[in-house]
Amino acid sequence: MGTDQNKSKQDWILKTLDCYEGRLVQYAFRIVGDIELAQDVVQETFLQLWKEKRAKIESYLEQWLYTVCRNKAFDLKKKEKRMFSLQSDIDFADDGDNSPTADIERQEDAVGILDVINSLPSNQKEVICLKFQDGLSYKEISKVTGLSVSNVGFLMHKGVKSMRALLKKQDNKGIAERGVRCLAR
Amino acid sequence: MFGKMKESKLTAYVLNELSRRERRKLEKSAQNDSALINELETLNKVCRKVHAEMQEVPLPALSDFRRNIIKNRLILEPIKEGYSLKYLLEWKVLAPALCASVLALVVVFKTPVGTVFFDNTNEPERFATEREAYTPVEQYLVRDGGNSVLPGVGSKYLMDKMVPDYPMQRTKGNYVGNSLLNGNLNVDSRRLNRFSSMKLTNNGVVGKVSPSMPYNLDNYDIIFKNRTRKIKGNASYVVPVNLETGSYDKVMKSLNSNRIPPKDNVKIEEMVNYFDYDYPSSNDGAPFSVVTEISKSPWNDNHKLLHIGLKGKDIMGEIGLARELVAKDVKIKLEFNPRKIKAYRLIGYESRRSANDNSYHSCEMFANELMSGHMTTVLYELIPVAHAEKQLSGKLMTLKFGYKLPNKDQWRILLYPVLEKYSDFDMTSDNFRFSTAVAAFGMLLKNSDYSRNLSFDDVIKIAKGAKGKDLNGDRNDFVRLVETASALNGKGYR
Repeated sequence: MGTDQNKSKQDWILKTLDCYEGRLVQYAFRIVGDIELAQDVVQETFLQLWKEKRAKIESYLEQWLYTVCRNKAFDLKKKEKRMFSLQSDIDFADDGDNSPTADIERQEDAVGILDVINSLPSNQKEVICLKFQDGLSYKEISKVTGLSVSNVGFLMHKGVKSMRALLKKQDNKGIAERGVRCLAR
Repeated sequence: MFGKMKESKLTAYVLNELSRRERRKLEKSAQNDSALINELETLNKVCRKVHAEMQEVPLPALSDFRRNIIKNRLILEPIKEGYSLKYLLEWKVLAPALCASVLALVVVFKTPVGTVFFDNTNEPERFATEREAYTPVEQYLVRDGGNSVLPGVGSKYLMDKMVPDYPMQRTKGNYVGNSLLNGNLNVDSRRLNRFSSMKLTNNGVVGKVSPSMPYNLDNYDIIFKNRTRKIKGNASYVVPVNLETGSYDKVMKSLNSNRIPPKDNVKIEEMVNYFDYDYPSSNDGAPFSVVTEISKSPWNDNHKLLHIGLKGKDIMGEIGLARELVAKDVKIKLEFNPRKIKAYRLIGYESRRSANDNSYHSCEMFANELMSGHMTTVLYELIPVAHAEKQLSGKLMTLKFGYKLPNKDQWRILLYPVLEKYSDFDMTSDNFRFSTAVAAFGMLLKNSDYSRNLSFDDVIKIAKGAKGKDLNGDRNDFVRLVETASALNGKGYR
């Protein structure tokens, strides 16, 4: 492999890293439950990417990255035999400071939805996150997770339904609160 | 519930995951079924909301050291078989040793004024080993930053930051990478189009919901409201440097003809940057000076306001002060300390996050040129961690400036630690209070939720007390403008 070729592959890898780094670390984190390990997984994924032929995987790069990342994450989890709780997900959970003064309304909403996502069964949570956060299609999610497309659709729907129930509850509450605020003005 | 239709198909429809045939079928049966239409509308609303929320979650990043492993180890041996975890663990052990050796070199070259200056290109032999191990990152400059910076922090601070950074070229997963990704869509447009009704399918066919449908999804434009974001982990965010001021002219024009300006014309960042501020000139070789100030937010007692002022170095030309390029590709990045700052909100820049301008997230947009004497002002609203007072004092955040000198292609980095040092609002500089007044005015015009505890009279009061020298009378005009707005507001023009 010539140096030029090497350089262009390096550029490609770095650009890909720039694009996917955050999303993949978060994805791995949801599986392994530890930020250091999640970073290990993503690092490994990209070292693996070096070994692949660019022309071969470029057409489904995103799917490739998520699949490899997922497999490596589950391998590592098995190896580490670490028990992890999805509830300890630092990205979704509140950071422990629940003081009402520091909170603002929008955040309360955010915590609500993310809390619901957090409380979903892990397979629902995974497809929801891959769809709404990472923007994968049903087909891509099916390839990454090994679930059938219709199964992905089913899990997605169940997840969306749970969130719908929450939003309905919030709406009812919200209308009352907004009323109070209007009076205050 | 809806005939033979599986409920999960409805969700799939809203997420644009149905085949063309299935979609048509569903649309047909929806035409005479208001219950189904309602259901779809509700699902659409829920999905949009969930999507919006999830896009707000800040993404974690790979450490710079790991990036360097990915980048550089493989330059040396790109085709080598297998990088096992064990191998990587060895790397973890090696890392501190490498850091320490680089640090030792830095201490040796520390100049007496607390300035450390790395220049790989001029020191080829000396830094040869580091260049092999790290990215060829160029130059490091770590400086004391005046009032807001811990005196003499330079070398000590550098210890934390020793691993050369991949400076400012990173965004958190939002890079726009046209050519390198599959298909015709780049990442950003794809993210934005995720739930819109238009979507390029694998074979390039554009699927589209009929516009005549009552639940037309075409209008789904993702509006990135400039919301408060929570800080998670070691947060870092890129700050845009805005150099346009056109919005203030528009606001002035409207108010001068006794109209409240349309909200879309109110761009807070442009209004704030319309004014000149009394920032000191750089006098130590850097192409620009930086001032930071933190105080209580006038519209929320529990929040703080951070003011960052940037000024290009004055260059004395033959005819007085000439406008010359002093730095290019200027990028500001903030790294918040999550133990001190719970959440932040960049004030203004809402419109730059709209669907039409997805370059907001791309670093490329920040290819900003800084001219001599030019000023840029950025305001942040911060929510401190509630119990932070009890903790030891420390860094609130680090400002990182990446830039290049006009004729160079090397990145230079300036690091400014910002200490937890709040001033009383009344004791802040005119710069701080005036920029706050302008921002607050913009928020009031936009009818922002964040400005609820503030009135035009408050703004007038703050601005009047912060006119400073006001050489060209701009600040005085501003006060008049707010008075006009206040009067119009009183007449119920809003």
